[in-house]
Amino acid sequence: MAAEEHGEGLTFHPMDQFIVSPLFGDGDVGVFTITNATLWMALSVLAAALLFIAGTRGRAIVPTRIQSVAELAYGFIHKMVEDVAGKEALSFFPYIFTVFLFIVFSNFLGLLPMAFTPTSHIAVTAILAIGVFLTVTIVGFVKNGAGFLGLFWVSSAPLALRPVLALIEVISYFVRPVSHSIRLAGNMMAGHAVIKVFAAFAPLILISGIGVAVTPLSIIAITAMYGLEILVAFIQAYVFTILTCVYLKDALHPSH
Amino acid sequence: MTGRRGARFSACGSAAQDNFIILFHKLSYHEYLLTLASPDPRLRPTVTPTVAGTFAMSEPNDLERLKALDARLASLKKAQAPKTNGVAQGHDMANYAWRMVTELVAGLLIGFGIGFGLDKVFDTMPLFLVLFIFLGLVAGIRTMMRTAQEAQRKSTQAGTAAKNEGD
Repeated sequence: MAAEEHGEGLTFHPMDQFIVSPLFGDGDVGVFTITNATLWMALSVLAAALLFIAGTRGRAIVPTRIQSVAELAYGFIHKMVEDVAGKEALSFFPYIFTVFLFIVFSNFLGLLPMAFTPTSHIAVTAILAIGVFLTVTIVGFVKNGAGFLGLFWVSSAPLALRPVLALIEVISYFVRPVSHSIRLAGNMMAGHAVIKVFAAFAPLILISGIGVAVTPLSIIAITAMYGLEILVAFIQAYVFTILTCVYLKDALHPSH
Repeated sequence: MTGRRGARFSACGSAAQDNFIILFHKLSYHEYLLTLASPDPRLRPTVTPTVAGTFAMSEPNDLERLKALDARLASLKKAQAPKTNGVAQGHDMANYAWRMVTELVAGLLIGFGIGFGLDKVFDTMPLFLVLFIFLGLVAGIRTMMRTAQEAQRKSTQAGTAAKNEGD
């Protein structure tokens, strides 16, 4: 995208890492083209499957290290679903856990050098958010019937204001999937782009004298950003999951 | 496992009794071991519990010892409770801020989208656009305020919990 040529020969391509390109050959990217995004999504699914299928193969009472990681993740999300959304929501635990694992593995695999981060694309996160949105809405209607629409009808307001408020409530209901997906994609993309920008300053020492100061600084900055990104990779997956639980709670008990 | 635990409480003789005692102690055994290994000398038990002491609770001495054990367990639990550290809390707040910003922007965007679409359909260019941008802004603020409420509730909850623990 923004390919800007610096006067001293530094090249900035911070957004190149997000280009979706076909994995085999180089034609156009169609609906069913296998791209690098497909590859990294498949890798994160594979990593999650390996952790849980191979990691817990021993079914040891005293868990091995990998098994205890798997158990920890399971217990963590199980407790979160139960605490935030209540006991009834536990029937959605498999779905929520799957979403969490997919995001967490995509985020962390995306931190490998030369990797591609599927969750930095709003197309991917929007699908995840739409999935959550549809699930929550359908569950709300199935559990509460038409009474679920009472969520939009503010009965405490004066009658004349209610239609306007209903419109506002409907819009704010649709705000949730949008902000849900923008947040995850925005966080992942911003962090990766910032790392790339710092990385572009690193070879300055080969070009001019000022590089003696700039190069170490940029390397330190990359390291710091990378540390922050590790934190963000987990926290964003956590936030996505906990918000899913919050929305699910609203659908199960639509009383504000 | 059983052998090791049995050895500790084997004063009674029979294996069945030993097993019962092991079960009886199972829950607190771990914490008991922790008190033994505690770096704080105040937390270490002064008297090692004996089998006789477990059952003959009518003696005032034992009641006192139980109370002391309770106090020790409580202090241990407090020491082991997860501490909320400043960095994580700051990041939590930043998360809330970031969430509110995206909600506000998303509300505006949705309002813009609906207004633009309606104007295209009905060919009334600025009317619905302006109307729905305002509605979207209000909706965004509404969602944002709800998030703020949630954050406030959470922080007051955490505050009262910390206060209760401090008592």
